[in-house]
Amino acid sequence: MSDHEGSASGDFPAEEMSEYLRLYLDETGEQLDALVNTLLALEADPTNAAGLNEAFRLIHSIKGSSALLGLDRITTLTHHLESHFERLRSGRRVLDGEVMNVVLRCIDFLRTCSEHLRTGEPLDSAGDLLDEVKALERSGAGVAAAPPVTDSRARTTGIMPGKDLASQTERVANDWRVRVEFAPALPMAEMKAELILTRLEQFGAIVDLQPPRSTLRDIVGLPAFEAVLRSAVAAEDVAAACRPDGVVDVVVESVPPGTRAVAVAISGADEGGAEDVEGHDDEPLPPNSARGPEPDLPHVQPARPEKGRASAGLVETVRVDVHRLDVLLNLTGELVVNRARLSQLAGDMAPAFGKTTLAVRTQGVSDALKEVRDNVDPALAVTVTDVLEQMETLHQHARLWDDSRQRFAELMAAIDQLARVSDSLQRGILNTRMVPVGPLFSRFRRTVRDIAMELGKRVHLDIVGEKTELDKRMIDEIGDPLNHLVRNCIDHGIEPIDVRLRHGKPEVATVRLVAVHRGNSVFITVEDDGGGIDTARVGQIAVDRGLLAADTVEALAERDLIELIWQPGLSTARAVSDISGRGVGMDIVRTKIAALNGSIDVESTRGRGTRFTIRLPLTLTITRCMLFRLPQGVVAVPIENVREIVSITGQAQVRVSGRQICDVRGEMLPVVTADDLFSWSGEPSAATSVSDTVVILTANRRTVGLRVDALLGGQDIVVKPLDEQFAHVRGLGGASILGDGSVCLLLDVANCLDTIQRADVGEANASSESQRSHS
Amino acid sequence: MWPRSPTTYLLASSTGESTTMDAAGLAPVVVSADGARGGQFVGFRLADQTYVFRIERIQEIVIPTALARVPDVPAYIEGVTNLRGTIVPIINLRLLFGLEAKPADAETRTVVVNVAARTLGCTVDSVTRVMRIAAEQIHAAPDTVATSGRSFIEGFARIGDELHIVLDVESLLDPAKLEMVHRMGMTQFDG
Repeated sequence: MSDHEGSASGDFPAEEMSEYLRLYLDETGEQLDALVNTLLALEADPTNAAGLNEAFRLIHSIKGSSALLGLDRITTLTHHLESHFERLRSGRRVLDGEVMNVVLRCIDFLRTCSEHLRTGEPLDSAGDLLDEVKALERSGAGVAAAPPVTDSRARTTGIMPGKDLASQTERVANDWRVRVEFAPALPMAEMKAELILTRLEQFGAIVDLQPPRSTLRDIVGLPAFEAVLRSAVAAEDVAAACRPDGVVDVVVESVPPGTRAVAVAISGADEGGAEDVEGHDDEPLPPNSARGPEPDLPHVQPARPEKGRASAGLVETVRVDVHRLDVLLNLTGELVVNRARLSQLAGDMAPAFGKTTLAVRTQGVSDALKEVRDNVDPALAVTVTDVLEQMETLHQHARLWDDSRQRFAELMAAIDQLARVSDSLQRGILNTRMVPVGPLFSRFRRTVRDIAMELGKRVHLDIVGEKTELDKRMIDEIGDPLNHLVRNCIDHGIEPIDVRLRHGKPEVATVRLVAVHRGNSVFITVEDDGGGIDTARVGQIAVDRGLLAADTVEALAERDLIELIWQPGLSTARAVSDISGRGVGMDIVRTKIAALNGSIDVESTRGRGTRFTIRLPLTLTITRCMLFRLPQGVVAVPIENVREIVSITGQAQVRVSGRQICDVRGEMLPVVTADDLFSWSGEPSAATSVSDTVVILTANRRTVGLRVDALLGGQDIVVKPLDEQFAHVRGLGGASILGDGSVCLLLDVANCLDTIQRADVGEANASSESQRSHS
Repeated sequence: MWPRSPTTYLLASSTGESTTMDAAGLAPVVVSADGARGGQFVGFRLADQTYVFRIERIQEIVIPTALARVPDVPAYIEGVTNLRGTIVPIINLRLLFGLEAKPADAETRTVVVNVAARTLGCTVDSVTRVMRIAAEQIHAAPDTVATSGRSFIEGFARIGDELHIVLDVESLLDPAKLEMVHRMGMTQFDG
């Protein structure tokens, strides 16, 4: 592979690259638009500080993202523009017509670049424009108050047009050999080298460079470089420009013209060599041509099409307010519901249009009547004639009816078609809302670094599955809980370094963030290799805080002790810190996730680590549910909360502390009714005959049976939050409109089971207390 | 002036029944000496008393449809219903005011109002008519009414022989104040 490809996609797989490129193009397009507006405002008021700052900021961010993608030409141009605006900002130069023209042409050039990147064409050279921008810079430098970079002659000529100045500067220029050494293993040394070179280019031309510019970026851990700079500035200024962080040594010495940098010189490196180096890529390379092994083929724009990406081009995107998508999704939901209603109505009507021979029969009756009429006495015949006339009308209707059968078949076909279209529409709209979790996950790199530093721990964040997609709304909502979990892992989970070393663990702990798509759900796990949950401490705290009685805690299994972390008011951090430990965390995390119709589980092994697994539905708004009839009305239960449906007919009624227990294939499960879950106002429903149908509900590793009157089958429902118009009711996840237009409530099973558990624990506490008071 | 619904939907019920009230909101607002505002009102009955809501607060009037009962809420919240795709809570004004419940009949209506960006329905015994009440016909509620916590009573209007109670929808149905309205009720209210 040539360097070109190496530099183009070395950092990213091609697919990911194109994803970044798409983002880059969207962003840059917006920034260019904003820049033009800002410039136009500046044209009227060239010294407006806010405007100049804004322009500077925009150019800076375009430069930043271009550099990230290795779009060198754009980076170089924007870099020069940026430094020019820096000068405008500081008042050393005024934004006059000349500057404005050059800047606007640069913007046009950048637009063209974006266009080419989008279509996959090679980029144009920025050579001339770059010259002009540089010329502006030099003329600017001349006007500047006292930059100690030019001798008096240069300063006096500073008022002359840029080009002339440049040539004059050239005339008095020396050649400086500049050798810069970086600290060993300095991260991003090659970027620093670029930075230094760009700075040097402001002083004059880089006549020679070793290693060649084209390969510079590919040398990881660049130890040093050497350049020959032709410039009129003083040696100390050159040296000062070469001193970013990480440079350990700079040698600047005057050399006779024509001196080369040590080692192989690149071809064509004469006067204006820097531009020439970039100028190499003028001749557009055919996208898939065998580029051969030329070692110093200059790396051009890396977004150049590769491996078949050329013809595809890039997809254009539109940024849309997410609320508009919400509205669309809601409307689609309505459409789906209405379609269901239509299907239901048509289904109900179908028997009426079944295969009948109504017209044939009415015809038969008419014929029979005619015969009767001809053979009865005239007095009766009059009556029969009347009946015959009625029969005739009936017959006509019957024929109409028969004809409509065909129409009805067409109606059914149309409804089927509508069903297909509305389903695709719904899927399509849902897809528009899906975004990858990558950017969300990446945010945690910073969080992890900061917290780890603060706590004096060393943590590596491992991210897996960043391309997994989730509903946009879900991504927005899951950020906080995830943040809490990640903080928790580092703060509570991961031991201090000395403890880790004592236990023979690596000094650098690992926190893993994993997203996977399985079935209708996305699973996100947050995992650490820390000390695991200290169950003894958790139990102790629960007792100390008065959440549970000591003997209750003693009786709890390890598993149940771990589950205590979800209790409000429990935190095992020894000190309350900024990071976590206010004891409001985990229960809120669980509540938030439950509000997203998701669930969270924890597994922990002492000394090995803790893993939180979050299950989220793919989308917030559509949930696959089972529908049941309760005495109080129809309820929906998310399908993943329904373990099974059993009949407990004929089972002996066993009651343990007020709770009925049933035997499901040897497993003893509590069975509750809707009245145990909620208090229902209004007249008590006439639930005289107790149903024996029990739905086994499960969430957060708890299982309870719920008696229902009837099963109504499975259905995809569009969930609407209750609190939009009303109030949140604990234990309800929302409501939905069914095919017949009626409303059903969605059970939030996790919360319902919590209610049951609390009731039971309350009972247990009360009874243990009463025992204690007896003894 | 019409916070949520397009004017074409105004007072057009989902069941096809409709009452024409076009341009009602454009009626000039007359302010009387004691600050009461005149305008158009919709009258409805609960037990043997007539109440009025300002027409601009009303989105539509519908015949009650099937309700889904909601648990863990006060009894005066009858449940939620589907209003053209929006799930809307229904408040029974009789129960809210502490009056005796009455089974729904052919006259029963749901008055859909907009309060604080929410839409909710009020079950009433019947809707009487739309009326114009001049500002000077409205007598502000006596201070004792306001201080007794019944600030949801805006005033009284005598129309013919009958005294109408002008209700302030915002303070009556503000979700945060509903419980207080319920406690105060109308039962011991002697006007």
